[in-house]
Amino acid sequence: MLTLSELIDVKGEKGNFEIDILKKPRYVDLDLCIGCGACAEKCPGKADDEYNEDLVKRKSVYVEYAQAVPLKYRIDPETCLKLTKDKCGNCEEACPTSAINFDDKEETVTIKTGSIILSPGYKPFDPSQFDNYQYSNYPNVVTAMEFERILSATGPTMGHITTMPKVPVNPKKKKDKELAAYRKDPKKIAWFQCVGSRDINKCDNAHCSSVCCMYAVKEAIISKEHAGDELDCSIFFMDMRTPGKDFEKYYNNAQEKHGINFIRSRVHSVTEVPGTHDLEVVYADEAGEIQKEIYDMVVLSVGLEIPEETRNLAEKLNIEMSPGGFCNTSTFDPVSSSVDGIYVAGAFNRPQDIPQSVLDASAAASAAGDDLSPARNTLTKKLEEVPRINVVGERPRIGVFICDCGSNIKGVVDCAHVTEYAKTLPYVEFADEPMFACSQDTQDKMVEYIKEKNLNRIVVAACTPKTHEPLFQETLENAGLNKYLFEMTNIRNHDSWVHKNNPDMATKKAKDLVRMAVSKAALSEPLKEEKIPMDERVMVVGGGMAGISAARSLSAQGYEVHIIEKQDRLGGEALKLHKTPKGEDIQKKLKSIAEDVNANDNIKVHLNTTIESTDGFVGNFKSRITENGDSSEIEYGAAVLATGATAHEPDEYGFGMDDRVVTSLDLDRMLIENSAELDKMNSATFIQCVGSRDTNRPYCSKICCTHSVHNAIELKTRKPDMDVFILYRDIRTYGENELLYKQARDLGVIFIRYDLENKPDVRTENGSLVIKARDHVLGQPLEIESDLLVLATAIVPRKDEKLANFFKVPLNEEGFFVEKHAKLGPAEFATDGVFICGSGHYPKPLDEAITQGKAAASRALTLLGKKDNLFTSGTVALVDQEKCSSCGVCVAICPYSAPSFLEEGRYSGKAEINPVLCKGCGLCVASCRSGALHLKGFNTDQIFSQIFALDEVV
Amino acid sequence: MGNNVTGSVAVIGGGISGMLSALDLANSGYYVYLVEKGPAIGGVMAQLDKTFPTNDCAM
Amino acid sequence: MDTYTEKIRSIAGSLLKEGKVDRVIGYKKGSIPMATNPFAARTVEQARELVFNSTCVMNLANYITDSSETIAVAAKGCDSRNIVTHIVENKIKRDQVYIIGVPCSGMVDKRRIIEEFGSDLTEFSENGDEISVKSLDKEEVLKKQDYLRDCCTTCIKPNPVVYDELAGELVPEPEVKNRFASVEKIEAMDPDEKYQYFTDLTADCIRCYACRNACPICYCPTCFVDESGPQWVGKGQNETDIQTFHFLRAFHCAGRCTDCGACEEACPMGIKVREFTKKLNKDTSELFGWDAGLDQTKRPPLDTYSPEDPDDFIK
Repeated sequence: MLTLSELIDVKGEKGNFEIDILKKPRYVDLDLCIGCGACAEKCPGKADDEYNEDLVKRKSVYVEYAQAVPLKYRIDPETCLKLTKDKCGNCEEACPTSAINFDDKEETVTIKTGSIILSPGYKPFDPSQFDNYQYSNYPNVVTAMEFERILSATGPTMGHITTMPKVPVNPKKKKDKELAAYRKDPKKIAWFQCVGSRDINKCDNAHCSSVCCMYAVKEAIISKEHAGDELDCSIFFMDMRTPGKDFEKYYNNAQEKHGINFIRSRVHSVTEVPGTHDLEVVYADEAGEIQKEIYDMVVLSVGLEIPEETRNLAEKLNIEMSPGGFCNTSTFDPVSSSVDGIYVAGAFNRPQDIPQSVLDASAAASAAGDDLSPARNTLTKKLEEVPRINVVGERPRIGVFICDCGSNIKGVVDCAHVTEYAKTLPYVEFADEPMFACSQDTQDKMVEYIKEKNLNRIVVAACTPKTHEPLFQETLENAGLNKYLFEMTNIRNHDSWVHKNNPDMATKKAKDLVRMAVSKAALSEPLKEEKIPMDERVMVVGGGMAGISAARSLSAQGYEVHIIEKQDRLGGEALKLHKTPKGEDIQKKLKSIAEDVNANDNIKVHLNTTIESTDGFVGNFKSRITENGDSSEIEYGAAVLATGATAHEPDEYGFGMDDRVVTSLDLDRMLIENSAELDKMNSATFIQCVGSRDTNRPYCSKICCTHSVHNAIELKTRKPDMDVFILYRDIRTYGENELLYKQARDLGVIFIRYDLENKPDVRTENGSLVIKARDHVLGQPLEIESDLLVLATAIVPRKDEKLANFFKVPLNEEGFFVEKHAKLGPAEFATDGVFICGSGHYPKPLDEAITQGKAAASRALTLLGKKDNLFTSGTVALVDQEKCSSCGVCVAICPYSAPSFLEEGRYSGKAEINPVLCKGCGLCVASCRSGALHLKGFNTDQIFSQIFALDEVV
Repeated sequence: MGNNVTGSVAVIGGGISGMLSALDLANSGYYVYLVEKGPAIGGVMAQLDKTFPTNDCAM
Repeated sequence: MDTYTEKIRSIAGSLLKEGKVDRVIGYKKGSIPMATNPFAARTVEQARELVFNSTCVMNLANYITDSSETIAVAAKGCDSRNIVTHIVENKIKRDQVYIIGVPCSGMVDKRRIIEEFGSDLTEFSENGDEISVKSLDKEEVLKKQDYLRDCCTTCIKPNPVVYDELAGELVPEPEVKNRFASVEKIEAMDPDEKYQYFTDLTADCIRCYACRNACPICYCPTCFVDESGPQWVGKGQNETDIQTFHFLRAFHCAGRCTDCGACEEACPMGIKVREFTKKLNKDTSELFGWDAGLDQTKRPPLDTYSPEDPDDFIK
């Protein structure tokens, strides 16, 4: 990891790049710094805190935020007194490890790599250039990023919303003091959407930033949670763009449950009410009437743009940029830049939200790996294994380490006293008080102590096991101890941090916690981690573009893939599509991809094939398939579910009664066939949201707006004098698709908005197809006679419960698969070894489906890469069959399907746990009425010993 | 391309995309250089309070 | 209801004769008035000992668990609901049990009769809606309806919910006005009153575990009260231990109890054990729309999780 580093130049080509990197000085030695904060305590320097959007000050020697990685301090050379004026030097004196180095110099390092991934990110749009919103002048106009910090518990106001957020909490300047007098809890907050997005008048950002609608809704909801229901939140918007998974429901909830006002209007200007700092907002409402409203605060929903320095970098590397200033990528290689071997991910690729960036990340990783598979595992290191000491049957000899955590714990808890106390506890042979239990030198010492004192159990009283347990367990293993002979107790988060004002009680509590941990550790036993055998083949269910992409990435890295496709050819729904929004010919590309797949020895395509049954778990799946009527069995280690979705069959707007009423896919077919019919037509009308965003399907199908707008352009280009109308609810051409929306308007496509309560009316009158709607600008009813009516139909999930059951993966209410984590696990399931991509997860355009396919492959690759190193956890549940009553609660309640009934033998009918599937969550243990279930490492006797230890008098 | 390719990847930018790319690559057998211009990785996501649509904490 | 006796005997006789079942579980006349005991008939001769009347209070589902035999059961509404629970909880398979459905018009509260007549009952008989009771010093004909057990007055399923054959015509489903009135009374108490109420309620408990033994859903191989490693409850007459037993047992019954009343019937000390379970029945009914033993395909609500589960209690 190279921090404070910038890429300056790249030489070479795909496979062998040489990269020059400029490392800026940190003035703090990374190896020596233990993150104790003694330097910052003594530092007199002050600078704006970028992390908190400059809303507060920080010291000149600082860490960005408490959870920063690496948690190492840095001296800011611009404000440090020593570096600017050669005065001070307090930090150098305060540092206990002599980590400060004022002579640190800038250096250039050259690294050799096979591929490059660019994920430089974005910058929020700077609204100070807009004079109508007075961001620079009015203290109550803030950006959404600033507001994000205001809402945060770690932010300047610890989540409390007040006006005057840009004025310091303890103002020093006279002007600030005056402003601070106006500080109050806001009663009305307004959000302005599309600030620096969809705007080429005041700035150059024609694109839609894709994320602002959702973050504004989120901020409004959270504001109400923080400030109470009385807070009035209004969002001023042009089109509400909530096309992502579960976004529409979030939007609906914001309106119905949280009472947030949504006002369709682009606000003209803001002025301060004289004598106050309240803001008067003037806007035109939907009826065209001018409205005035006073708000306490205005939040500008600033868009995403690519900073100048990134653009310069791209230019230097000869990377083509898109018209919107993002990296130019094609639909079929959505993470490849125009330079071979350089891949892109995140907002640099296109304006997108976190899950999409996460998918990009994995997709770019797999694409980067595709090039390098011959060199896989050549540069990574393997750890040496230390022989295990057998401690079974030995009397416990416990070593206790009480961590000072710099001053984090020691500042409150009397650690020396706790250490002395620990020595008096039963079975404790040794106790020590390291300044930082997690530092490398303490790890080395710990190994020594274990060997020297013959310790067989270790207790660390420090911070949270969530972040640090693995480190200590590794240390135990390095000393030859089983890693489950370890117990950690949290005397920081649970003690010194929360009882700051009560040091005596905190010390007492630390002693309680240590005593409890020791009593549990005394009863701990070495646990075994079972090796999981790994079949390296992968099954991809579904031969659409998402599935094909996953299969190709996996095969490129040398893995054997089976594609299961129930139709007689590869391609899925893409076979019905004409062109991508970027204008690429889908059928042509599809043909070459299918040929490529068929020629690939690593990919076995099973057409006309269905899955009859599936058994097994990660590394060891087995499915019975029927291929062209013949039954066979395939075994594999991981599965990718890419079963896609289908188009909704409309039952309204005269579909099926009048041949001129068709679906979007029908129009694509006509375009693919270059149908002469199209040339005869003089007018065409599109109706959006047919079957989407209604009570039956309360979700947005995401792709239809762009699809219709693109097809409208297609029609207009074929025949410029054709009259083309699009009837819509919100146009959701997110990202750079917004440019198509603009192009369509420029070409004369007419957009007419309708709402759910007043849907267009379609009828045949005297042989003509007539569409009746209401003009939203004029407020007048209008009639359109049209030769063609295209219905933008919803994308409907397959709701494949059988498949979901085979792989023990969940479906949501609508029938889409539920991924592991909405943000961080969008291409995998909670079930190990099963991955997800394509529209079975949620409707998505081709490029996003392909990205997700590659991402699913990447996630699968990380699993396959662990072959021979894949073990179960030691802390898994265990059934005492003598006590099991076969009631089946554990089987019903386990989210991972780990318990099942034994089918034969003495305990037939009783439950057993598959340790491979068990995550050690303990649900079954808690739910077992018969007391037959135990969680290894958390045995009942261990828990009881802790509870009883708590009762003891200190 | 042959076998003489370098088995390492440079990831430029330590935001959420960069970090996860780096993790995926490292876990599938490639050496990774994660290059970040700031003093710590995390990117903009670390500045966010909660995330939509689940209102999960961004940290 | 004693008209069912003949029908049950004949069904049982032919089942045993044809070898369709290994045993028939029903009731047999006890040695004192108003006592009928659970009885397993294995032969045609024994089948002739089977009886059915308004004193068949024990729950026969209790006697069919963990068996490889094929068993016929004379099942009232409540018994049948517990059989359903057993099927769901893998205690018996549906094709292993032959259910002789017995539509029920309620069981007589023996405790009240004894209270009113003194303990020395000499005779008990019934004739349709009337019961005649004789003791050493008293003889009366009473309306059965006035002397039903409390759980029978709030019964929602007097007819068997599942059966293979019926021993009589189905009875009309009753309209129960407020079956949880007794719980509401306790809910209205303040915490101190409640504490006192439950302390008084269990004060007489001798920890004989008859309630548990009579309960069809208390079938664990080792009950938590008998467990010694860890010892969840002490063995003595400590108030806390007694309460722990009753509360924990009630929680184990949540969503599974059919309010059959077997526990109260079995209690030698006359403790109203149902006061514990009834509250949880009310909760599962109100929160999950669930009454135990009505659906062979669904597990009790506390065995499963659904995102729609009520969570208003989480603040």
